[in-house]
Formats: sequence, structure tokens, C-alpha cells
Amino acid sequence: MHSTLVRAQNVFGFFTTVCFVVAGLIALSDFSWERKPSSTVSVKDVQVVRGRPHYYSTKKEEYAHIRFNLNTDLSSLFTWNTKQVFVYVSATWPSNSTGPRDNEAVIWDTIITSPSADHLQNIGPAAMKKLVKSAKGKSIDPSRGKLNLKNQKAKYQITSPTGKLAETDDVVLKVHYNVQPWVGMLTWTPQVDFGGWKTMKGGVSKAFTLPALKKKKEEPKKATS
Amino acid sequence: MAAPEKISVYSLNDLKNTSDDAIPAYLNSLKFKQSHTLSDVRLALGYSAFLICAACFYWDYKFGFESTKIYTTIAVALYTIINSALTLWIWGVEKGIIYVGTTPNGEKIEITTSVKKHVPVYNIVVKTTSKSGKTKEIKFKREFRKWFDAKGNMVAQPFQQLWASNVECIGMVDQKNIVRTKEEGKKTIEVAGKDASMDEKWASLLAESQPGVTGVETESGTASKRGKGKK
Amino acid sequence: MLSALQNPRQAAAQLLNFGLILSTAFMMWKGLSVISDSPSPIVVVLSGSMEPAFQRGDLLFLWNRNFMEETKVGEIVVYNVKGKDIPIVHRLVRKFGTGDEAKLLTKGDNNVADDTELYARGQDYIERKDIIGSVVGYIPFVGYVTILLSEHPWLKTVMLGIMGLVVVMQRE
Repeated sequence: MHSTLVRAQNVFGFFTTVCFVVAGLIALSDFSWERKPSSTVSVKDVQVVRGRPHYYSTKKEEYAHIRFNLNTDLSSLFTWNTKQVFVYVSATWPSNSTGPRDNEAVIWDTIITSPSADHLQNIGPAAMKKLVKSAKGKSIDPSRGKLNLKNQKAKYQITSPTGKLAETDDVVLKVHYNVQPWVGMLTWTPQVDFGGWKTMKGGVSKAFTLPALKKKKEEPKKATS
Repeated sequence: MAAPEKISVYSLNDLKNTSDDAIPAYLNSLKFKQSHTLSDVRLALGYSAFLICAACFYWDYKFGFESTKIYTTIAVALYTIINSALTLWIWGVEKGIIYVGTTPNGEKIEITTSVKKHVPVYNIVVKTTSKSGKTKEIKFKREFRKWFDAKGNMVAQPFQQLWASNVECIGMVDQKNIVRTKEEGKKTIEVAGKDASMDEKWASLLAESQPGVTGVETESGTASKRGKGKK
Repeated sequence: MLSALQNPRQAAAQLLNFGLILSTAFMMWKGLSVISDSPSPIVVVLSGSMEPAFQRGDLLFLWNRNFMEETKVGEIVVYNVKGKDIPIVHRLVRKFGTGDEAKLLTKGDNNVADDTELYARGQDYIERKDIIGSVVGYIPFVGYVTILLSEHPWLKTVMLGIMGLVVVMQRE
């Protein structure tokens, strides 16, 4: 009873302790890296159309299709403890023209993996080959996190539970990110400077107004895909 | 005296626990009166903490988290307090005391034992308070191998001899186990306020039991030599 | 063991050691629950719908209090759906309105469509009260044991048996 089992227990206990201490130190090391992301986002084109949320629905709703330009540099978010950065553009708008912007919807997102997590991406074999090749031999790829999108179509159209969106005033696009570590704390775009972690420079578009309903009928294939 | 179980001689914890368990059994057999206050307080604290936890488990299981949040908060706070009190009790009050009792002569006796990591030596501190209120502290230590055989069986006699020879109030009631060797005398370090009248008693006691002791002395001669070699 | 049975106090102390190990683990869990205000402050990822961020078996730490600001779009939340036992970990992608009545929509990073299909019949959105916490901390892989245990129930019996034996056979 004593020798073998107790030894195995002790070794395993020591092993876990070491693992957790090392993991804790790695997680803490996040704070030693400076984060100074910047981005500019602007609206290129907006349309509001009427459509059905899904094929069998009888209800008709208004959808806003947005095209935008995005230029970001999030390369400072990539460190040895970064697994991926989730970048997303959201549209925010008020429920009534005088109130605060109390609605927010993600219109576009992308996942930028760190070279160490490339193999986990859910992409096709050709794209995977390209991705892996792009950072071969590098633990941190300095070109990751730099996006330059022109006239990008939104992945998700804006909807509203009320079904009304046309002629909404004071709509703003914002760029956000979420850093997913290998171990430790998940972090989002900070609201205020936090040590070496600076707030996003730029990243907010000018306020714009959604146009009136487009006369021509357009049927979205599926509202929420 | 209860027959001790066989233990692994490589486990210092087992050696200490088995020895600790043998002390009350031995002393109580000599008509010592054991006081259980320390362990009773510990058990009371421990079981009340456990009961709080059990109650918390019950209402959490039965009614879910949201509706019992306040009670759970209180239970967690109480449990923390009681558990801290328990820890304080074990570290601050019990401090390794394994026996508190009264000798047939009415003296109070308090025994504390400890081991150092990886050193197979039993460290003993005995505090006695005579009826007149005079306290006396004796410290001594001994290798565990003196009363454990290679297979891990505890041998009662050398263990009892250790106590009877080193602690006078035990020796007084268990004279047959007194062994007085030169080495034994060296290892006994008497710390506080030696009682003169006790000394006298001790001397007379030794004189009385002298014939019996010599016989045992030759037997334990090998053990003493081994002890010396290690020094 | 044998001597413990002869002495009720010692038996009680030994039983208490075992009880305190269990109860301390449970109370630490409840303490974490109370602090984070979440019924389940640590969850194990069971599906691949948030890949590559979370794999099966990863451990997530949740926080369910809104100190400075409301739960907002982009956060990864764990929510319950009426009639389903297992909570879902997905990202919040739309939020209409503010406060407790805000309508929230979630989507898994690795899923093409949003979660409308996963919600209860006739439910288009979730509300703040459905959420049991936002993910704030992450440890990979450590929770895989629980997946193994739930997929191979006999392992539970074996583990419980071994743990019980170990605790009973040795003190402290």
C-alpha cells in the first residue's frame, strides 16, 4: 500500500502542481506584452430590403445589407500565449432616434489563428496548406492580424425584432476583438487603457443613416445565415 | 494493551500514528485518566462544519441555486469560519498534543509528539503539573526502530520502557518497565522547574526497583550500542 | 483500521477526515458559485461548436455579475435552454434593447447558422436570465476526464472505489 501507490500519488501530485504553476506564469505573462491595436472602418454601401426570415415564414421583415471598408493592425495581440484572435465588426443603432444606441449586431467576423493553432482551423485543405505555409517556422507571425478589406460584404445582415429598420438614424460600425489565450484570461477590446494594453485606436465609423426601403423586391435566401 | 496492526516501516506517518495510538492505550491501562476535551472540541467543530455542508448540499440539490443563493452564501461564510477555527485549533491549541490526562497520583500530564520530515526519530515533549501547581517539561527523542521490528510490527515492551524510564510519573506506576542506562540519562533533558520532592521520590523509586532493572539492562544492551553508533 | 474500530473517538476522527475532504471540495465549489453568482462557475466544453477557440474537454471559468457594464455582443456566454439539461457555450452576436428584457441571439464560432434552431420551440431569442455566465478564463484539456467518465460510466465506479480505498486506508 505504502511505497508504490504513495509514490505514484506524490509524483502525480507534484506533476500537477508544476503544470498549474507553469500555466499560471504563462497566463500572467500576457500582461507583459504591450497591446496597441488600431483600425479604421467606414461604410461603403447600405441597402434595406424586405424579406422573410425563412422560406416557410409568412412574416416579412426589413434587412439591412452593409458593405464596408476595414483596415486593422492587430499584430500586437499575437504573443506566445495567443491561440486565436476573434475580430468582429458590429453595427449599433438606437431604438428611437433620440435614445442611446441600445441595439448591437455583429455583421462580420473572422478568426485569425496564431501559427501554433493553425491546425485547428475549420477550413478546406487547400486553404489550410496555404495558411500553414504562410507561417512556417515562426511561432509568432508578425503579418497576422493585419487586415485590409475593401468593399467587404457583411456576413450577417442586420435584423430587428420589430421588423423595422429603414431610415434608422445614428448607426455606427465598431471594430472589436477577442483574444483567446492558450491558457488564462480571455480578453476583449478594453474600454480604458490598462497598463500596456491600450484601447483600440480608431475602430469606430462615422454615424450614418439606413436608407429608405429599396423598391425592388429582393428575397434573402435565409435571414440568419 | 491492543495488538497494533502491521505497518510499513517506510512510512514515517504510519510509524508516528501507530506510536501515538499506543500511548493512550498504554497509559490508560496504568489507570491514567484521559481527558478528551481537545479531541472533542475538534470533533465538534469538524462535524458542525460537515453538517452545514450536508445541509447546503441538500437544499442545493432540492431547490436549485438561484432560490437558495442567500442561504448558500451564509453557509459558505459559516463553513469558512468554522473550518478556520478548526485549523486554528489544530495548529494553535492542539499543537501536536496527543494525550492529556491525570495520573493515579493526581498529576496532570500532557504529551506532545512530532517527527521531522525524513528523520525516523520520535520527538517527545512531556509536560507534567503536580498537584501543587508546579510544572515540569521533559524533552526526549528516540528512533522508531527501537520499538518496531523490520516487518513493521510494534513491540510493546521497549516502547513502554521508554515511557516508564523517562517520565517519572509514568515510571512510578509502571516500575517493572523502568530501564536506567547511562544513555537514557543523557537523552533526558529536563527543562523547567525541577521539583525537589519529586527527585527524592524518584531516587527512592530507583533504589526499590534496582534488582529488576539490571536484568533488563543486559537485554537492551545491544539496542543502546546501536543508538550510540548513530550519535 | 482495526484500532480505529476499537476506539469510537478515533473512528469518528477518521470519518471526519474523509468527510472534511469531501465537504471542503463542495464548499469551495459553492464559494466560487456565490462569488461569480453562477450556479456552475466552471464548465467543461462538450462540443466542437466553438472551435478553434475551445475544444472538447477544455475548462472554462464563468463570471455572471454585471459590475460595470451589461453583457454585450462578442462575449462568449453559457446559457440554458428550457427543456434541455446541458448548457450551451456560444458567442453573443446580437442584442436588442438593454437590461433584463434585452433580446439576445447567440451563435457558435464554428457553426454556419445562429442558434435560433437550438432554442426552445417558438423561442427566437434568449434573455439575460437564461445566461449562467460569461467565459472569462480558460484552461485547455483538463476537463477531458469528465468527458471520459460520462462516456464510459464504468470508469466512475472504478475511480470512486479507488479513491474511497485510498482515503480509508491512510490517514491525513
